[in-house]
Amino acid sequence: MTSSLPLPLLNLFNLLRRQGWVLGIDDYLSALSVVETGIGVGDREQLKQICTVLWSKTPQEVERLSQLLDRLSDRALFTEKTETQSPKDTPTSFPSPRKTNLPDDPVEKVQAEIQAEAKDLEIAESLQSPELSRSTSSPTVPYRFRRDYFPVTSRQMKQSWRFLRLPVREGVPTELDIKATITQVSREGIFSTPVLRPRRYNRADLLLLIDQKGSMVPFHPLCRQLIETAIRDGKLRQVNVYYFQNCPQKDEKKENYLLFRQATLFQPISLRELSITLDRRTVVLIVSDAGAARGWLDRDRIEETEKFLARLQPLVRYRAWLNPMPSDCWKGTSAAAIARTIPMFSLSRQGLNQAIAVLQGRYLTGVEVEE
Amino acid sequence: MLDIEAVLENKQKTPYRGRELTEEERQRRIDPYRPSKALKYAVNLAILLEKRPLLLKGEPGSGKTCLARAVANELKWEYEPWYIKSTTIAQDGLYRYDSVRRLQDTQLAGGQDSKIREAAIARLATSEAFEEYNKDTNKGNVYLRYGPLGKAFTNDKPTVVLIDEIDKADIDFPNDLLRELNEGVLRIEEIGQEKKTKHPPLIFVTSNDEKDLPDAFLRRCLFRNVEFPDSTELIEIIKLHHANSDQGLIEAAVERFCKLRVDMGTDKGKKVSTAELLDWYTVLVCNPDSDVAIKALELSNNDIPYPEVLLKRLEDWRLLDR
Repeated sequence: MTSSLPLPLLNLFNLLRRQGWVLGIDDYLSALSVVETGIGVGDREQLKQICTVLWSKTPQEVERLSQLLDRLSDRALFTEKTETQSPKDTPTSFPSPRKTNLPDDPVEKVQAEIQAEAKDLEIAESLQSPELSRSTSSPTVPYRFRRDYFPVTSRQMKQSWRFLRLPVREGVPTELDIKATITQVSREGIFSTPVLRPRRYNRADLLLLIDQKGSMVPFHPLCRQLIETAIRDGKLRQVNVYYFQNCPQKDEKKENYLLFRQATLFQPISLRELSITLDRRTVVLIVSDAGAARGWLDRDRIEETEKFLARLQPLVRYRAWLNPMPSDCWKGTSAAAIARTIPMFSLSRQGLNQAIAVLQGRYLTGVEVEE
Repeated sequence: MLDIEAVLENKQKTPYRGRELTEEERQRRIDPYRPSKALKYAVNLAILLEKRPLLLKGEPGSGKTCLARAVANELKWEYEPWYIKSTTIAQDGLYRYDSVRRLQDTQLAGGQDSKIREAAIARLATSEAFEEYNKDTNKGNVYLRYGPLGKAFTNDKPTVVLIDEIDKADIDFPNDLLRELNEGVLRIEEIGQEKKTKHPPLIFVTSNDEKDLPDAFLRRCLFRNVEFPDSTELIEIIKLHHANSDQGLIEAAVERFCKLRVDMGTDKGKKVSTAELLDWYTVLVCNPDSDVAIKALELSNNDIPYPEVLLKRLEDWRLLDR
């Protein structure tokens, strides 16, 4: 097919790509190869079937694709550009490859003729009604809320958690140790039994401390996704989640810091109690905006947070801080001050990976903020 | 209007029509299957395009897994199911090479290359041969064992492969299969051989949506959501499985079943499925007098005969007590 000929479905394909669908040239060519066999030419229902099977991957996408297809006029659907072509051109511009491919088959001929008639009818229809009202801006543009409109998708979170590893071999020996087997064979002169060793397991323990309520309310779904991915697919040995508001507060006797087991800030647990369950391998990740969301600079909060972090340090192996606010919002707030005592990163894909690198023991300074 | 089935026939390929079982197949106790029109279309597109796996999603028990076998059966293709577990890795589906065995045989052969095979065959004579080695023809590799995909790639006949519940495996599992699926070539590193497919296999992938699949993999798939059948479809499905059953009983059972599905609400919890309906009907039909069975169904507005077959959660049992 030469470039001067209009390509079927290209409008729809480009529209979907603009909406962020993961579609490549390969996908378009597949659809084209189906249409070239003659299936679905001039038939909306069949075209819808082909496009949904080829291009959509979730039930939601099927629905959206079908909505989009319904809104496109026939001309917009079958040809490349609607604006530049006069209606007179369209009958010849419809690609009907079957006419050239299989001219000898009488059944095919008749079918092609019927189809050509049908097309003429459609064009006549589209001429009667103004093009604008049929194709583009209809007053009720359907839209839907996406629950996962996050800077980091759940799949990316899972991938990042995979980098948090502390592999230890333990348990029943089940894995073939090739090196040891070869050594044994060379020592004994004959191969009798293979040498086995225990499998490698991830022994990394993660402690998640999550700021709740107040300025963190908009980030609750994001935090939940972070927790969920760490627990379900992080392949970590243990994930403990505790909550606080703004910064961990001391109990009445002013002796110990209090954290909460519930996101609703119920079921308090003191840091001392908590520290019994921690071993020196545990790494801690704190998620809080540190005052950056409201742009406050709170001396007390900075001081309290620094004291808490100092108390936490001997109990754990590495510490990092994730801030759901982007780093250019930290300037002049408590966040910038706290970022000087602990590696702090914004909760983006890169930031999450960097925070996890810190928890793996790599030396990274957090985002530097000019005072 | 050109039909996809006609196009496939033009290309000398057999389309999948979802026809009814023949008498002979029924005697071989092959399960009947009734695909929806849209599902048939998707299968035929997969046959037309080749190399592109068909990804099926849908409620549990809606017949995702059974489709592959039904297609293989109708097209008279080989059928290779691959049931994924949480520990499955991509290599499991391709091949396994038993290096330890080979090392052992090398020792038995006294280090002489020419005698290794003799030693291996002597050992195989006394043990179960599971490798790609044919005792009768004395051909094939003694240490190689193909997985379901490996078998499909090396098979002389066209093959239907089912990769069942792909979302159970690790999140990067599907990506490890991309190269093989794309190129249709199986590389066996241990013996330095490449096997190219004679017939590109037709691959079905099912997912329960427990984990997101990688974009790169999704891109190569065709996708079809297996919709829950409506009541007329359900009646047809039961008729397929219970050919000589009473029409009144089938209708009463489907009606009660559909009401139960509505009662269960639209929340995300598990709903009763087609598979459970079939089990339930098998019990219902045991009643020799179908009129009595129909009465039992009609009387029971807040009750259901044999609820054990249908209701699997405590909350669902509360529907009965209302």
